[in-house]
Amino acid sequence: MNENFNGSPQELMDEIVASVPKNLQEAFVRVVEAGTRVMYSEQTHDMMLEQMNKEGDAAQNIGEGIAGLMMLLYQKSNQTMPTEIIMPAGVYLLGSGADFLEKVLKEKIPPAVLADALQAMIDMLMEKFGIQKDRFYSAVEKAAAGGYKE
Amino acid sequence: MLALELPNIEYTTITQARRLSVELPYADPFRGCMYGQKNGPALALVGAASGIATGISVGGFLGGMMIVGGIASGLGALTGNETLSKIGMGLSLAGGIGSAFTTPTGEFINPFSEGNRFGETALGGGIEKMKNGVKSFFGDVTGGPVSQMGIDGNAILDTALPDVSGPAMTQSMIDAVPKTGIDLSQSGVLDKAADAAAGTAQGGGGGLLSFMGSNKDLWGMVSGAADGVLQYQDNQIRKPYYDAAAASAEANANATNLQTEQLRQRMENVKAQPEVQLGVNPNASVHGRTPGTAEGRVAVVLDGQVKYLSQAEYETMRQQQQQPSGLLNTGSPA
Repeated sequence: MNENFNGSPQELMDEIVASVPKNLQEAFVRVVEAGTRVMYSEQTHDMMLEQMNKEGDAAQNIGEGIAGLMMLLYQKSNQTMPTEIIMPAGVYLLGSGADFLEKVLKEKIPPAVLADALQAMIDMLMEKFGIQKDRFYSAVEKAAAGGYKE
Repeated sequence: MLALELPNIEYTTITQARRLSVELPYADPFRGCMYGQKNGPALALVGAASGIATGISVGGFLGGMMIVGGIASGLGALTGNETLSKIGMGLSLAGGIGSAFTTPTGEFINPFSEGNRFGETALGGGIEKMKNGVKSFFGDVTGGPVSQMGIDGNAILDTALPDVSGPAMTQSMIDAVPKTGIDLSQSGVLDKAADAAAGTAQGGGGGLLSFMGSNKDLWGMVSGAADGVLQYQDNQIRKPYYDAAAASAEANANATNLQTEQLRQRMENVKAQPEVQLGVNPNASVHGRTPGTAEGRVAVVLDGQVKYLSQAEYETMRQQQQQPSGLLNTGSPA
């Protein structure tokens, strides 16, 4: 992790690219390319913009939009996409979308918005994959706290 | 090979879009398209991909969470988002997955779905080396001084460091997370995981999250050792290149030294060459000399000075130089 990480969309993309293990890099690149085509193609670009600009919490909209994109890619791949790639590719595309918005709106996307969007994406993906969110966070919280013994 | 079918969505007019509206419930007498009610098309990508993805590998998804755990932790710390921070702390482990769940060749071994390969990773190998090291340090822990003190060394090691062979390492997590399909029942994936984390799993726990939470310092130490193992193995792989680079640098240095030496020798040779002086006979008289009769003088360098000797003096000097003299004079030359 870069010590000078400032939470910008570009840094988010750079960090996730550096984090992907070697055996998953090829699949990662393919999924990101496919996701980028969906996000910025003529047929579907308006759809993405509508999702990101709709009323409500912007971070929630962005996160859920990217989660939906990942689900779409997974289904369209006939479930051959390595599931380990879903989260890393989602984070990259999240950064890419936020970077695009920064350029269009000419405003910086605050790191807090990115963080909330990432959390919204994680929550939506868990819901779509049928993972019980409260159970997941309970297990993670106990592991993070480290306050239990056998 | 990853085959992707990109969506092909076309909306030409609003009328066309309305024709694609989601149908209302069957047999509703008061609502529906017959009454002019139309819903907009499901434009949002979330709707386009609705529904639970059956057949998903939960373990695979959690492995992906591990990959982004460091970023989640970083963003959480930067923004004060505690949820992301906990995800990062709980899943990315001490030192991240860079070495913990990576083989020497850089392959990521997902502990949630490939736990039986954990021994191949740097961390798994590090744990195994540490256990063997502890055993060799204390001798055979089944006997010797350790057992004489009434201490079951093997039990201590097995409790402190999980068995990296087979599925024992992450028994609660791996056994609970099938590679394909998801169990949505109460005894499902995360119930078992949560129980394992709380140390209340059947059989006494010993699951991954339980071990991580209870032994953070040890985990950090082993992770650091794993980093060292990985770096050592990386250096071993690169050693031939390092040696070749060093040999090449040494050869270049030798070539440079040789050139320098040759240049120095040339400079010395130039300095050692005798000075050639062209002597002019100051006593030569041009005007009063009868051709063939004037006696010329010979210019000789003696002790760094030019002297002009007559022919007879020159011959005498030469004879003196050729005759041996001094203590080493042993008679006529052979």
